Amino acid sequence: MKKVDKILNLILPVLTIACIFLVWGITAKSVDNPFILPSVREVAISCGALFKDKAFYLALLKTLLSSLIAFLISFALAFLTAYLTKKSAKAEVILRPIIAIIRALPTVAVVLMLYLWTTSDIAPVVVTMLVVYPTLYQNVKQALDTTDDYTLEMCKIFNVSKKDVLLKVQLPLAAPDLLSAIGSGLSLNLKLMVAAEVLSSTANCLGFMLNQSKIYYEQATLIALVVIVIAVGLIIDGAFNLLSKKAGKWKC
Amino acid sequence: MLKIENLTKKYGDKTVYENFNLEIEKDKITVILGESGSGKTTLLNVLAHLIDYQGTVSGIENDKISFVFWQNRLVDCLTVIKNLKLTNPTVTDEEIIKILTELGIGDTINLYPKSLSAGMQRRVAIARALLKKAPLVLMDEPFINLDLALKLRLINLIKDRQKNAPTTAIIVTHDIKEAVLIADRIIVLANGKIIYDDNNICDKTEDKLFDILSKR
Repeated sequence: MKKVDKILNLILPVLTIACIFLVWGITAKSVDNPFILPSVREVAISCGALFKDKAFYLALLKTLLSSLIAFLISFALAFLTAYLTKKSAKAEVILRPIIAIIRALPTVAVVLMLYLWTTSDIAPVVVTMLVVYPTLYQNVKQALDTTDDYTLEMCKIFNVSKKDVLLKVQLPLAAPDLLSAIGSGLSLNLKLMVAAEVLSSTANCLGFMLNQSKIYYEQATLIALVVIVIAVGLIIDGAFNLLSKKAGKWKC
Repeated sequence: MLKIENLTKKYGDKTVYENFNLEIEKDKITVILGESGSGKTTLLNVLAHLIDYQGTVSGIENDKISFVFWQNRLVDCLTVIKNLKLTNPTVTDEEIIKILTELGIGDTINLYPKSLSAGMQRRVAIARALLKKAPLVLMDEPFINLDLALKLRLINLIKDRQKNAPTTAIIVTHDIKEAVLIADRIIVLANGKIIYDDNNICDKTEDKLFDILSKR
């Protein structure tokens, strides 16, 4: 990549974000009503207030933990089912309708049903799991497909042990795509978790704080919370993209 | 003796072999020549039990085969040395460096396959097959993507190794010159049948082969 391209790749995203803030600032100024659209400054002050509040950190921790639990269960299921379908075509035929149904599930309806059947702490975890699972399954399946049959045939001829095939061939070949899928999966997971928490009225979490801000017309706090969720999602996504690039250094 | 008896192989409606028989003497280099679609690669795949077929193949121990595939089949995420160690875990670094140096790519051990030229990748695939020291080596167009000088160097290397430690090698190629230079026996296949079989390779063999293949 040329030096100019590298510099542009760094500068352009910063300029895009600056433009978003500029549009926001101009709109807030013209609306001139903090209950409808607070200014960037007011939101920044709310962010600062949140960072000083112990309850915010506890809420963030609870949401992140719930999100992580949902993701780990989803990922384990996605890995297991993707591996099974790679090994057996029949398994794919059996799983196809189940995945299609899960993919078509209306999120809000599921939250409402789960709210009746489980507690408000469990419902968001289950919903997030269900919504993220089909995408993760597809991504893991694609990642596992990076090891072609020819390579596996070569391993068979040269008597490479099954353990080495998995640990030295299949997983390292799949690692860049898998890490990228984990990053975007975790980020999507967090967004869904917050939405499900709002719908399930889960206590002491980011969803709860969003709900409270809405009820008490604290628009600046509400937007500050949204900005924080976006930032956390971007950090997770970015970190895993970096890891993915590192794991895929053999590609170039 | 390696024996193929009553081999029948079909791909859909297309019959590649029908009741095909062949005996191959051990510890010799047998070259299979033939035009595209004559069944050369299928024969190697049958010998390596990589495809289903009808008939009997005897005289081969399944886990003692080495193969230079038509596609190099190197593992992209492993460096050259790790590729060679994956398939030959007992070989030492010195042995690996020695064979890579003999093949003229001694300085590539820490490079990934994608950063090598096609010819270099081919030589790594050949090194992998030779390092296994299997009693049966199958080679599908082993000298593809190599320039003439390198081709001759490799042919001499394989012949030298054959003198020191004889193995059964079956090489598939399109190239008459290559075949004459390396073979103890040359078989020409056409439509799944043997149309020429010669284990007395001499100065006239090249002309004979040229006549046979050019008339087809």
